[in-house]
Amino acid sequence: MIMGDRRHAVWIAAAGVHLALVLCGAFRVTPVSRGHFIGNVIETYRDYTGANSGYGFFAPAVASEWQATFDACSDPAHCISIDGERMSHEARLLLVTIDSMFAEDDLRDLVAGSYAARQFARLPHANVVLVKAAMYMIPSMEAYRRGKRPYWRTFYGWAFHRAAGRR
Amino acid sequence: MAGPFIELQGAADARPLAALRIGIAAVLLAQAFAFSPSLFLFFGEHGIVQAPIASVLVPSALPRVTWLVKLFAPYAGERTVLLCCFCLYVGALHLLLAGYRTRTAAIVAWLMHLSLKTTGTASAYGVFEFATIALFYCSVFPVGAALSIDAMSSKRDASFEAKLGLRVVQLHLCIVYLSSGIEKIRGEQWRNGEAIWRAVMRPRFAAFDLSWLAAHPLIPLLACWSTVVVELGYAVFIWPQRTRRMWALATIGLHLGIGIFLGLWSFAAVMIVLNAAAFLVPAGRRREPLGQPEMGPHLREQLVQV
Repeated sequence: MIMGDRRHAVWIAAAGVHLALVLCGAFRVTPVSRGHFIGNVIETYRDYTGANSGYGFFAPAVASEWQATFDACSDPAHCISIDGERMSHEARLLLVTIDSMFAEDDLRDLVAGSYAARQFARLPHANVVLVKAAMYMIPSMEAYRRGKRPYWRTFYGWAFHRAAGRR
Repeated sequence: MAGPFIELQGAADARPLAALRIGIAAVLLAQAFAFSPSLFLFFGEHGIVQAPIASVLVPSALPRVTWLVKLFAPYAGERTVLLCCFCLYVGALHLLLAGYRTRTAAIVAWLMHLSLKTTGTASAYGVFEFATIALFYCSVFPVGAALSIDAMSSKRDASFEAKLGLRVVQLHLCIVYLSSGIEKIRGEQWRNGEAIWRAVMRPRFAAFDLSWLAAHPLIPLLACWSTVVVELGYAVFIWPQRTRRMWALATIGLHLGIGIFLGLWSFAAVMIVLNAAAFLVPAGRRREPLGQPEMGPHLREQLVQV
């Protein structure tokens, strides 16, 4: 019985620590920095268990949606827009998540380059791929009543050239 | 209120955890089949976000498919290894659903899910986070002790671990909704109704044309405040028996709305499973020590006669 009580106590203590870490994740608190050994262990545990997740979905504000579009060019005068890849509804949600990285200053160029590499692979004859990142501008309800409508506004553009000899 | 909240003594049957296991496995299977045609596009080394870029976005200790690609490089290509990982994940989810070798299946599903999530980290959204959490709990707690093939060969369906597991899931959900509610109430968009308007107007999320809401701003305003009230009140009103069912159903309604109007079906389904398992499936609390069968009045009477 004592063994059982001790086992229960260990389980309860472990659950308490885990939930404390969940609480830290929810309120974006890092209990111990990754710089320390203990901090690294704790953060790895949180990464594996999902205890580092934040839950502010669509909060405090609903972010604008981003979209990447592409043009492929054989020479500067001949560019055609490339159709998006066909995919299921669930896969489109994954794509929306990737596109949302255009909002991050330090990731934007990486995502654009990655998209371009994908398009070069799809279109072996393209020498240049233009990547454009547009944000969907949604007016407020009041502005919508006054006649303003949502639209895609291109904020960033990149031109990627195929490296010589690569096809 | 305090009773069920703090009580951890005794045992509870594992049906709520079993419901969590079955629901999560079913939803993740449906999700896996939904994105399987685009597997290489999102998780492949040469997909939309290539492996070297994806790898800098996540901590180095997290498992990823590229580890296995390197390990099996002499025997198989990247696409074959990725396909094998995906099949292993789907296979483990099937076993988890049936409750056969449940713990092993849960651990494999959890690790494979983590590997896929890390590899395709740029495309991982909310449902992946909750799947990680749920699969971790399936790996730790006795989710196979009821409604499973494993349970057929074992009579022990009630346990302290099942009770603790249920409490952990319940408390985790309270943290989820409390933090989400606090984040929302801080945002002006949630206080003036614009948040719902903006959410339903996002072109690749929206399932219906709800632009007419602009002419009736009271509807999104009420929807915003209802969401905030349900989320902020969750940690309080989900515990008393009198309000539990109502609050759980309101929360499920909220997620149904997310599924219907925003098209986030996998996310909505995972949250509905978590809520239903945690608060709507009866746990049948027991206080008897394990191993001693419950003694009804008839049995007790016979014992006295002997």
